[in-house]
Amino acid sequence: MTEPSLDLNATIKINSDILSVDMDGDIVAMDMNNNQFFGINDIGSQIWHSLEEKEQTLAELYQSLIEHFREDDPEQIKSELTSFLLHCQGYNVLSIT
Amino acid sequence: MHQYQLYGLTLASELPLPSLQPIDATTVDIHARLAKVSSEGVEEPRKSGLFFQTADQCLWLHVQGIARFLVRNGNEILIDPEQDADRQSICLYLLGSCMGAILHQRGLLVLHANTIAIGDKAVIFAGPSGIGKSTLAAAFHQRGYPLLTDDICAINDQLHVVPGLPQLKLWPDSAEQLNINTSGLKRIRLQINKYAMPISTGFAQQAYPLASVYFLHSHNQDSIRFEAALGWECYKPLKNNTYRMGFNRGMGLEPNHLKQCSRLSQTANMWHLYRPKRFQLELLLVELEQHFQQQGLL
Repeated sequence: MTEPSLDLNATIKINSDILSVDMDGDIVAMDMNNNQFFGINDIGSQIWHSLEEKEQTLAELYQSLIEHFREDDPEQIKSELTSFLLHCQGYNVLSIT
Repeated sequence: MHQYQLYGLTLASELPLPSLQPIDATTVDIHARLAKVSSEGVEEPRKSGLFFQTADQCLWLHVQGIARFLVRNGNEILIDPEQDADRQSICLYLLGSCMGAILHQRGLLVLHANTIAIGDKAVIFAGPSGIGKSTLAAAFHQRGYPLLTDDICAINDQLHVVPGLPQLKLWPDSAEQLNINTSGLKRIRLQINKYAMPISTGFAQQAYPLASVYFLHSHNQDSIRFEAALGWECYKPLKNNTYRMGFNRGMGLEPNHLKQCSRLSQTANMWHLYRPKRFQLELLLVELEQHFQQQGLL
């Protein structure tokens, strides 16, 4: 099975209706339209913090992650990043354009 | 007007509230008065149901056979009693749901919990009704720890727990375990067999900084287990143990609530406490005191 892939030039940004806070070192993001909330931890927190600073392309996001997690396998990071983003997109937390 | 102090606020009430000690206040934070309250609810409600409706900074509540209430702007409670309504029940809702709504409106974090002071810190016991919050608080109070709150626990911006009502609501079997004679105590509502025990000594006189929150559960084992509530997972029990979360959400305060939980999570230690189905008070007290010691509270 091939993993779903994303265009490296795609722009990723957190949707404007999302309120996110630190929760004991992790993140809780809430969709203000329906009060649904999402817990985000591990690599997800790092991705989220990057996106909170500014919207960016998948390539930029990937680059910052492999710099941050130098010990880890870049392929593994890529796969986790993709899966996190698609998951968030599915819940309308992020947009990928 | 009768004046009282509760949750660090002064309340001037047209109805006397026998469970509270009257005071002479120079300033009044909350006015509770008898007035006509619409039977239709509020205009343009954010949430509307048969028994409660909400708008920004406004809660409309109908308790059948008792009264209609309108609670607004964090400083006003209107009471419209029904014919032959029992006075004690009106006071119960005034100090319960209505006061809870006031605290939400004033931006405090309001939990369904009991709080005691251990050393110079506040320790909260939260959980569903019947799990043993009040019994534990009563037992610690008997052992000399000041009581801060029963049932409704309010946490301010500085993450201090403010003193609530000087009473403990106990079921008869809890009172028996604690050797409390209920014959002189008032039942909190005529039809509910729960007793309100006034706390005259050992009631906290000031707010205490929050140290720990215990979420009480029962499990199918004979032992007691503590499990740290960490990371984003501590949000759910905080939310589930928020007093009348539906009021909070209905008044559009959930974003603020989330931020309050975030701040709390950075300061307080949170634990799930699993106890055997059969409530064993002595065992719980011993284990909890040990746990307080491990955290440096004692």
